[in-house]
Amino acid sequence: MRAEALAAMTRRQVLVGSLAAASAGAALADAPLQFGLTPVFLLNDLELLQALERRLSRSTGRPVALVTRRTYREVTALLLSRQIDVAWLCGYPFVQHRDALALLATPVWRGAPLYQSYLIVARDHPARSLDDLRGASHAFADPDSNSGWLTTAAALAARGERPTQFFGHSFFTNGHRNVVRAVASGLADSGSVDGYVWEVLAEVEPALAAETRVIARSAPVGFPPVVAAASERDRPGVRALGAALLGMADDAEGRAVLEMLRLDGFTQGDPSLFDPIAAQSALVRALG
Amino acid sequence: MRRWSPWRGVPLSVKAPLIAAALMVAVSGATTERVLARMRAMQEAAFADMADTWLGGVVAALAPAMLRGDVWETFEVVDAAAARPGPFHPEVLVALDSQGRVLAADDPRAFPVRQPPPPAFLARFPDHDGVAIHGETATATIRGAVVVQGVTVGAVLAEADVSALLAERRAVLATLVLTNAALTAGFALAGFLVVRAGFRPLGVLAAHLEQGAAGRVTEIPEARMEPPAAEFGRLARRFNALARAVNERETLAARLAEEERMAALGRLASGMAHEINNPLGGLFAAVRTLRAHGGDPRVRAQALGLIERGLSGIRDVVRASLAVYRPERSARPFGAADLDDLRVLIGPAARDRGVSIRWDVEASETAAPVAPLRQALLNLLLNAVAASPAGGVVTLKARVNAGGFAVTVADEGPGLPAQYVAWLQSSDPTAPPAGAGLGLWIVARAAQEAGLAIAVDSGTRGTAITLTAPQAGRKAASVRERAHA
Repeated sequence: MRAEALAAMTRRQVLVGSLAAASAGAALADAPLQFGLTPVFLLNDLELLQALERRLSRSTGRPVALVTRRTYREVTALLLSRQIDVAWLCGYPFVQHRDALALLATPVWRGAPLYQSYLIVARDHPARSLDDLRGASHAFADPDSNSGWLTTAAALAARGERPTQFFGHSFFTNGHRNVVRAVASGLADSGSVDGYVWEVLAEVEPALAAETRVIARSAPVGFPPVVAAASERDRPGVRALGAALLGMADDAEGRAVLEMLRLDGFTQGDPSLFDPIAAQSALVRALG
Repeated sequence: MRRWSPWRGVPLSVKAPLIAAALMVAVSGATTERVLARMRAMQEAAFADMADTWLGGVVAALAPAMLRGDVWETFEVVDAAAARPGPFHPEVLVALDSQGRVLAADDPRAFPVRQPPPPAFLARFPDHDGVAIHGETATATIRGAVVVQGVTVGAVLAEADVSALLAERRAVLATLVLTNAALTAGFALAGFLVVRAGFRPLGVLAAHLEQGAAGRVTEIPEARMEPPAAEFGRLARRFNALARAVNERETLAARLAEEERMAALGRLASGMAHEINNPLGGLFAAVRTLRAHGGDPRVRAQALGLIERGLSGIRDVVRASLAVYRPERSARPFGAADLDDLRVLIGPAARDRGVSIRWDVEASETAAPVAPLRQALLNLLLNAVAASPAGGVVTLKARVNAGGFAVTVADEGPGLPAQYVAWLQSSDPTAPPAGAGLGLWIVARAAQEAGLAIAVDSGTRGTAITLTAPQAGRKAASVRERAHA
């Protein structure tokens, strides 16, 4: 917390003062960059976090602190209140706060900056589509997640249904892996999960993923992007972080991190990738 | 009045240890029951403590999530608690919300979220917070309320496998039973040995009593007796006193027998005197006739012939009795003259009883010592004459057969009692059965002295007793030497 407060203070100095002193610049250079992470990927891998932190620090030439929170909302709030410099958010909070946020980099997975939302059920569950799940229990990942909430909520909104009425009962698990666990264990009959996370799980924890079955895949939408506050996007640290991500595939250390993430690399990406998410959001909001 | 019981035939050395073993079994049974009951109580208390501690941790971890009704977080805690290794390891762990519905369980398929648990499952749990152990299913059920700031937000139900506890009980039971069985067997064996050792003097006493029944009573040697103070020491000394008394009586009986022989001798002497006296009247009459009419040669010759016959009769009687009762044991062999003597000696008694004597002699020579054989035959003849009815016949038959020189004395009397027959034929006829005549005893002793075998054939039509002397051989020689000694 102390590091964050210090960082916030130094940022204010930068923002306020065009007369930034050399000492202030030095302080800026030394303060850790705060990189917020949401459970958009597999956060339970400490090795990955350390490798990512090392790689970003080396590329930016500054210490980088990875900040994790349980929910998307907490990380989004930290970013919007500028307590952190950048955050790996979901497309949904990005479209919700489109004006305040700027796109820094979009991960490339399987050749494109896109991913899908999966609707999964327990392996032996008879459901074949969302319509078969009326009255069933359902596990969502996070209320600010596109794949782990919005996609299913929008699909129901298209039918004029709300999740709370359609499902027997539903709950949030604060993570995509937890959705898979909830469905695999039988705690929920079905779940809404990030397709990228499910596919990676199928690779790294095949026994867990095999307990679930995908019954619906959404249309591809923009992969959860790395964003910064719009007002901060041109700060050197932020730019350095953006550059570090975009150049991740250029060296062995970066490729090792990408390998752990099962990603091809990062691209700048276009905000229009996330337009379908905005449309879904509007659909859900329209239902009220 | 006494009922038959299988116990009565069992020796005390078996009975006493068995009773002790039965007592041991009863005592160890009661002890085992108490130990197991105490162990059960201690085990259950320890288990309840452990379960309480565990439950406290689980409830503390669950309370925030359950307060919010957060299914996932409750599941995560439940899942972790059920999976965590430790001394207490639940098989089933269920968190119920305040309405008794499942909030989360470690096995969500068995306990679906937001549904009440199966009634059969709930029935296994105690009504209030606490632990219940079910021996039949080897499980324990634990219920604990989740209370936040005085408000009950739900309950935790856990079911654990307690087969380890029950296995421990079984192991303790097995150990107790085996130990007690070993101890009982050991005590029983020790008891058997102690009692057997204690009763050994009784066995010695019994052996001596059995010897006594067979004819010879011997005293128990000092070395095999317990000290006088011990139970059986006194008994052994009493027995020895009794043995001495019996042996003294035996000696007395032998002396009486000797006296009887002398008495018989007396009777024989009086018989002889009678035999001698009979011709004396005729002899004196002849002497008087000679004195009065000695001049008449016809009368004189008649008187002298009378005197000569009378004197030769007297001579025969004297000679016969001399041969029987000569004190030194003659070394000459038995022969025809001895048989003739016996015929003369039995003559007066036979005539008195009107019994006729039949002499059937084909052989008369034997190497057997003469004195005991003559004595035995004379007594057999006297007995036979005494046993025969008036007008009966007593037969003496002498033969040489495969067994040697055999003399049989047969009568037509009523037969000998069976016990006399057995006694006469036994190898060691030391003491006669009660009521046996001394005559028979003298026969038995004389036969033993001369090395004669006795065979008895007795029935209602009479008795035939055969004395057999083995023909010249080592046995006869040794017998003769013994007879000289």
